[in-house]
Amino acid sequence: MIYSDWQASRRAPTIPARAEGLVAAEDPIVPIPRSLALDTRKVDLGRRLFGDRRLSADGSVSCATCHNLSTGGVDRRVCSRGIGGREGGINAPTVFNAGFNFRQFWDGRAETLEAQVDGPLQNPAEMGGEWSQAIATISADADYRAAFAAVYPDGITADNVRNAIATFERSLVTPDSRFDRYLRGDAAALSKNELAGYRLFKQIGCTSCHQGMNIGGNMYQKLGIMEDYFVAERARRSEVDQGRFNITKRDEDRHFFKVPSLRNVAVTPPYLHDGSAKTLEDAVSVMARYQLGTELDKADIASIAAFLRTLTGEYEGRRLE
Amino acid sequence: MNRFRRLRSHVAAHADIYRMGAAAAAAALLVALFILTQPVELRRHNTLLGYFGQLKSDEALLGEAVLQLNFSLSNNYDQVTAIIGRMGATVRQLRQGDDARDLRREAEFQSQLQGLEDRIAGKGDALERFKSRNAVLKNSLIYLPHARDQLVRGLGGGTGVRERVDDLIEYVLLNRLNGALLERGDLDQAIEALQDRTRQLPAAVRQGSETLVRHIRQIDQFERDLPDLVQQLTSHTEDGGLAEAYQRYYDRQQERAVAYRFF
Repeated sequence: MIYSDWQASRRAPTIPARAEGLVAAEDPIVPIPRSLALDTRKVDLGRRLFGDRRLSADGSVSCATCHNLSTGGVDRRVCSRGIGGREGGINAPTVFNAGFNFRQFWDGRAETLEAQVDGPLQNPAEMGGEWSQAIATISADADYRAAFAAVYPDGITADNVRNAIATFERSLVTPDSRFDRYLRGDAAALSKNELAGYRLFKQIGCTSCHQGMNIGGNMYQKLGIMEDYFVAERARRSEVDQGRFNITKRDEDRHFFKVPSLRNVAVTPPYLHDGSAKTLEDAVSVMARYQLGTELDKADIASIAAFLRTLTGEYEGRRLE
Repeated sequence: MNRFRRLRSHVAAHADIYRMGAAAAAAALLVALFILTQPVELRRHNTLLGYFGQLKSDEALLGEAVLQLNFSLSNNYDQVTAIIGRMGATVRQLRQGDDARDLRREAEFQSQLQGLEDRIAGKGDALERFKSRNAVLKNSLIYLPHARDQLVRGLGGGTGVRERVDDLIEYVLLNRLNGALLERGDLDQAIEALQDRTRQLPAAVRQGSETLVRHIRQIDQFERDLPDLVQQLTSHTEDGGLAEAYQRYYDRQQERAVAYRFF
């Protein structure tokens, strides 16, 4: 590493060592807050709605079916199954920390969590519901009527249902991952191997896109920057492969996707929009090849995967599994 | 005469009703006059001025944050994403918020607001392109030395590859330091010189060379694209037209209030 060594030797005298107890200013990743100020009544109401199967057309599917909180906020399927066992076209992203994403869905078509609610609720391959039916179901439930009346002056409306679910989703933050503890100054939170993985993660350029509080989720990027992913990896292409192009219809947005958050990535397999990477190691290898133009050896892949496993946080005091 | 008498007796018989009617009309007139004498509510006025100020300040902050990213002084996109989101939220308040409800009938204000909305949407678009391209550019610049190291590692002497690679990297990095764009012809020539040297070498070397070249091509492409985007993102979209349109509305309301107070 001739150039790298030279760089390091030049930088060493001028760049101070990490100060204990401080978040290092040069780190492209910042810890997520330990708590958020949210209306707990809305959170509780949203939690009930999130798990309510009656909002789907045949009463068989709720938001929690695909975004199971006990399995990392996903269903761990390549593509989720909606009402009648219908298979969707894209891998379900985790709902944990979704409130920190700048847009929702892989193609970023929803600007807010509120706007996102309409997608799965009305998608025939997901919940297949309609607002009129959902409102009627909610209105028929005395507990819901009381809960809505207590929080929303105008009672049960589609906007208020959206807001309650979105508020609950905003509450799904997972602080105190080992890596966040490291960023907050606990130097012993990561092993040597994990730390080496983090260095490599930065060194090869992963942090160009996976940065910020959510380690992603704040920009779009093309899948296949250095090599055409869709020619090399995908014999069968589908409409969702077009990514953001499906929304903007601009050629330059073809194959662009929202960069996914890497928080809790160890518990949310399979990976990529098409769910084609079964393990973390697969995902690291694919990303290195198509996004960074490099082939990593097994040791480097294992090292980065070890770092990624330190990103698993806690929800309601328990580490995600 | 008869008619007059009948009218008088009718009025006398219904005097109370007529008095009440007259009192109601007078009260309504007073209410209307009272409303017309009211200036723009101070709290609302201050809130709206706050929105205009916020837009200007956010636009300046956005420009600053983009420049920091452009010059690698910042290394994540949370801040720019938050600022453009806040600008959109401010415009939504001006469009739909309660404090701006009286302005919904003001054609000039609405037209200025629509223009501003369009310009901010354009800026949002430019920001997304900037983020994606800047990430790739910075990645390639960071990766370049490693790509070079990987390529020359284990390379025997006398191939001339190391020299060609170093020439190429020096050319790319010096141009970046000088703020100059790469000359396409010179670049193509330097790349061809490298490829000539690696053609007969083992596959691993050729692959390393191709990786290096791909990164250099990315740098070349995005260094051409980014200046325009940075220019767009650091220029002002809020030219004061919206605030001026509001000021004219405000002045009209104040003048009207003063005029009606005379009555």
